[in-house]
Amino acid sequence: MFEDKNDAQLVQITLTDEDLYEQAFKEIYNRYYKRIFKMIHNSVDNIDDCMDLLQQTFLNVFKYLNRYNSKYQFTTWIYKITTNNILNYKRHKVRSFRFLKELKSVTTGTYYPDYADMIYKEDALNDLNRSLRKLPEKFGMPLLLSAIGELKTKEIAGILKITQSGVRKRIMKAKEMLKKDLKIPDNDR
Amino acid sequence: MGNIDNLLKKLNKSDIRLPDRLYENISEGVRRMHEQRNKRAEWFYRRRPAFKYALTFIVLFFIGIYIFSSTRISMEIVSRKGTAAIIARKNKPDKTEKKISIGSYLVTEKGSDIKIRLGEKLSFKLMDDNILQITKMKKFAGYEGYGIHVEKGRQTYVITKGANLNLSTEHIRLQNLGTIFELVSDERGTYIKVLKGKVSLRRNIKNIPKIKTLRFSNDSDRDQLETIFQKKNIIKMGESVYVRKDTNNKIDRMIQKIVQEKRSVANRDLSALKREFYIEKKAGASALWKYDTGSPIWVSPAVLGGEILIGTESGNIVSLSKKGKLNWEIKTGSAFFNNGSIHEKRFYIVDSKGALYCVDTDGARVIWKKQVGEVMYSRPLRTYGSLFVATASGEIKALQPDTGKVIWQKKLWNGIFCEPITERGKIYFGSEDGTVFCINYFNAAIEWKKKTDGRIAVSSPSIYQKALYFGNNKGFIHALDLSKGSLLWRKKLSGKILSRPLIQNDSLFVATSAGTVYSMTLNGKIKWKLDLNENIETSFEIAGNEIIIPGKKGNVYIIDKARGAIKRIINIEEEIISKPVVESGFLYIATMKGNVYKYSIREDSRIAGPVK
Repeated sequence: MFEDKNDAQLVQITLTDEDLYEQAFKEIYNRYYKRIFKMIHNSVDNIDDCMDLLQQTFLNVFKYLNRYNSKYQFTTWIYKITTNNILNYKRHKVRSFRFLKELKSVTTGTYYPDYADMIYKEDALNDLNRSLRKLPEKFGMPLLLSAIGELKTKEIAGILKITQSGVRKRIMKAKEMLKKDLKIPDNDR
Repeated sequence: MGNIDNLLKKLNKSDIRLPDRLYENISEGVRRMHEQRNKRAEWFYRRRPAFKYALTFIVLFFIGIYIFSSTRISMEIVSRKGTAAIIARKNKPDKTEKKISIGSYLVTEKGSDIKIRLGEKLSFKLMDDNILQITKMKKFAGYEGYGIHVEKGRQTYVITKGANLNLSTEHIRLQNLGTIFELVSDERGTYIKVLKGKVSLRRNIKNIPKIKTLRFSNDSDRDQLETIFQKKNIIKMGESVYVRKDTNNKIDRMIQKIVQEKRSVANRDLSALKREFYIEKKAGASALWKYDTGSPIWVSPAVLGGEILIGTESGNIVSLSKKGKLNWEIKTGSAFFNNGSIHEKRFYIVDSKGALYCVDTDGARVIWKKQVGEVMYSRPLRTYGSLFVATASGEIKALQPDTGKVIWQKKLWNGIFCEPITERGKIYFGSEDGTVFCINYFNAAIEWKKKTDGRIAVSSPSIYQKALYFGNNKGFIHALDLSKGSLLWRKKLSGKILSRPLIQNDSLFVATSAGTVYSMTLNGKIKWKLDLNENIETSFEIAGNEIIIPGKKGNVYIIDKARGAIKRIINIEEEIISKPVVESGFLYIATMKGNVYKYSIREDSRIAGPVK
């Protein structure tokens, strides 16, 4: 239905159309939820918190959708919200969200037990996931934004508010740290 | 490195499986959020006009504040030679606005407009050095008019529109609208100098309808009095002090307080202080009533129980009631120049042609009329069951009071102008050539006669104990032995003595035509004398502790008998020929303009004026 629409048009429909806003927002969700979940899952340990963060991110997207400026890339904007949520979680350890608490019927225990170690089918990706979580956010976040979000250096620099060369250096450093952690031999040698 | 990149690419492209209820939660949240948002939007939409108005009002309010603040001139209090000073800075709003304290200086350029926030907003225009004119102000809560207030201790001052202020002085006084005044302060205190308009107390304006002026003869005493008067809500302006009516009766108490304060400084008594001021009134203002007879009155009123009988120059015998209303009037056609006398509801009076009238005081009718002489200037005397008259041609007669029949008569050849007096069956009077007669009333025999130099015109003699006192035109006061007529002593005083000397409590009071009043001992020593700057040609009265002396110009002086101090001056401004009459605390005066006045001379009323 909305396959031929770009992101800005979807945002427009979500904001203005009283009947189709849910479907348009679902299309936005479908386009981005995997990558956003990967970013969250590769930074946060707890699977419950990952799910919560994902929901919170999309609710935030809907809440502040009217603030989105169509001059800029929608991806940049949505990843910025994701990044902020992750960093906010990591810094302040916001483990439960008031809004989500109301939605959940059960608030204690593992809510998504089936998904704890079954996100990725390959073992190598699970290992990578474990190593990525160990990375400090300073290095992990630019790497995730570039690898999973497929953002350019300039956009990452804008999101993280650092210089482009800094982004590059941090990505290099993060890759080196991953290599060391995963004990991958250097091909060049 | 290549492996890492490949791994990351694989991670990016790998498909993951997430629970379906994840989006259900999200869509639930989204729907709720949307509903909330719609509700909020609807709420605001319904109240859109109200919000519009509110927004407009707020915008206009801030625009108004901006306009006001852009023209405001704020004040700053800074220290200047130990006193607080206010500096007006034009077009420089200062946030540190402070209260203007009393005694502060206002330093601005001449002609500049100043706005002060002092509890209320008002603006000044600087007229001259230290003089401000208030041009605009807001209504001040708690007061009737418009104004600001400055507080110092308990006192509250209100400055009203149009007033000019001098902030360099200590006090800011109360002011009427449109009045320009200046406050002057020196070591004596703070005064209001009125430049334009009138000054009155701002508070209780209705309660001060009558204002009296106190004048002081002594500068230093006046100043001390004034400072205390000021504390007692009495306003001083220039040379005068204005007393509020409700405080009038307290003046004596205040003076006593002053005296107590003064005693520590100078050992002066109350009497000495009281002499130093008197109250001046507008002409005839303090009279209880006034009656206009229409023709000049030479005759002093005959008063009995508050009712008055009087003869006028046009020949009318007028009877007035206690309240100054006409009882009745008899027209005779001839002039009356002599005093009449009342006895047992009969009024005896002699006209200028020598006819004696006996008039009923109740019935307004002439009981009998008899020609007793050619010309008469003395008063008929009703004594010992008969009526005694003395004519200007020198005849003395005793008449029957009921019919007017002559009992006896005697020719003396000396013109008699004064009023004779009786004592123990004898009649004493002075004659034109200076001879004093003592005549036995019952057998008409001359007991003794004494020739003195100088004409005895109008001055009647007075008797006290064993002496007869009289004055003459040469200014001598004589004392004769009552039994023999021999001269005890005599003393020369200034001017003619035309009034009758009066004696009371071993003191002899004489007034001369030069305007001097003497108090003497019975041996002729002068106790005190008082110059009145006004001729005294009529007899005076003693009432209680006071002497009542009419001056020729129309001032009636009420003098303290003991000290010779003027207590009060009744200003009539009409020529007075006749003697004033005092009866039961009231003073009756007839003037040459034909008016009869009644005044109160009670003890408590001598300062407060009429008792109503």
